[in-house]
Amino acid sequence: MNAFEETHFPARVRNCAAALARDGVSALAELFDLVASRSVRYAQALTRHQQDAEDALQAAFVRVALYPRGLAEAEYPWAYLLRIVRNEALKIVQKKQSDDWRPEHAQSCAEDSPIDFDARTLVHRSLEKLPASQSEVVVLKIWEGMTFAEIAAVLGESPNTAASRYRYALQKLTQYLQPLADEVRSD
Amino acid sequence: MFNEEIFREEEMFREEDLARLAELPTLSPELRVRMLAAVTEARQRRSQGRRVLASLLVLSAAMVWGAWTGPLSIMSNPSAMTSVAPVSLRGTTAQDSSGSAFSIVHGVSIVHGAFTDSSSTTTYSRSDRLVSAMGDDWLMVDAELKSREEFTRRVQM
Repeated sequence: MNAFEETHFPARVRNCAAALARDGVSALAELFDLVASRSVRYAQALTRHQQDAEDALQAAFVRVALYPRGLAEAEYPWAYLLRIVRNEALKIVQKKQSDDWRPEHAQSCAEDSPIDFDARTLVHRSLEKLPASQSEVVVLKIWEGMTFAEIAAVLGESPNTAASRYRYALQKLTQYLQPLADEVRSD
Repeated sequence: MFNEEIFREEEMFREEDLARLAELPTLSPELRVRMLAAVTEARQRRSQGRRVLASLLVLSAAMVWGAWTGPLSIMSNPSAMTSVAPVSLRGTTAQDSSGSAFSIVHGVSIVHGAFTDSSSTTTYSRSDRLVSAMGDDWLMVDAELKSREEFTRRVQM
């Protein structure tokens, strides 16, 4: 995604939200095409599974379709939408935890896997090693380019909390990504 | 307020690297169709729920209206009474001092005189009771005023 799209992405989400409130469900597909991949990437930071992230996105869109005015009237529609996705993702995680899903999965995430020098895989594995509350901040800050104020709106926390989570996350990522950093430096 | 630049200098290298490695996941091909189907289903479910709620409201309004304007009980309808009451209930008949017939069955007395005047009983509903009670009040006020007038007149004489 280029810089122009990056800058105007929230504005495009706002336009889609307005169209959704005005035209109804017919505008939903356009909004989906715009935000689906990014939303799933964010939800995946919480659920750790793409399938679950997609389920969260689907549930979020059902909510948006039933109450489109909330999105249209939000101060930051993109942050508002991500917050809905987050709530749905957390519901899924909670449900899975109650189904005794987490222990074995958490264990598999926490295990130190052999170092994979494929950069993307390494980054994803490093993010999975972080607590969900920290990895989501990293995704929002670095990949979504949000400010801490916007991140705070998504998390329902203060900007300071978001900033400190980000700092802790970066400290851990520095440690996890040391092989990658060495590789980049040697280039 | 926090300073967003705090981490910039220290973490610039890693942030840039991470940003460069941003990769959007490949979505399941059926996700879009699945989402639209779920939305359609949810909207149908909601409109169906609203229809059920509206029907329930209409039904309860009709029941309230019926209870308000209908006869208070089956006892007020003489034809219904004779058709429904068991044979044992129609057994003992006597006459009171005013001459109206009444039955006494297991301690329950039913004044037949009340049933014979069907015009007064068939409209004996809650609304009628309320209206008549309001009328009674006014009659009492009227009687009170008249008695006061009469008393004043007597005192003046």
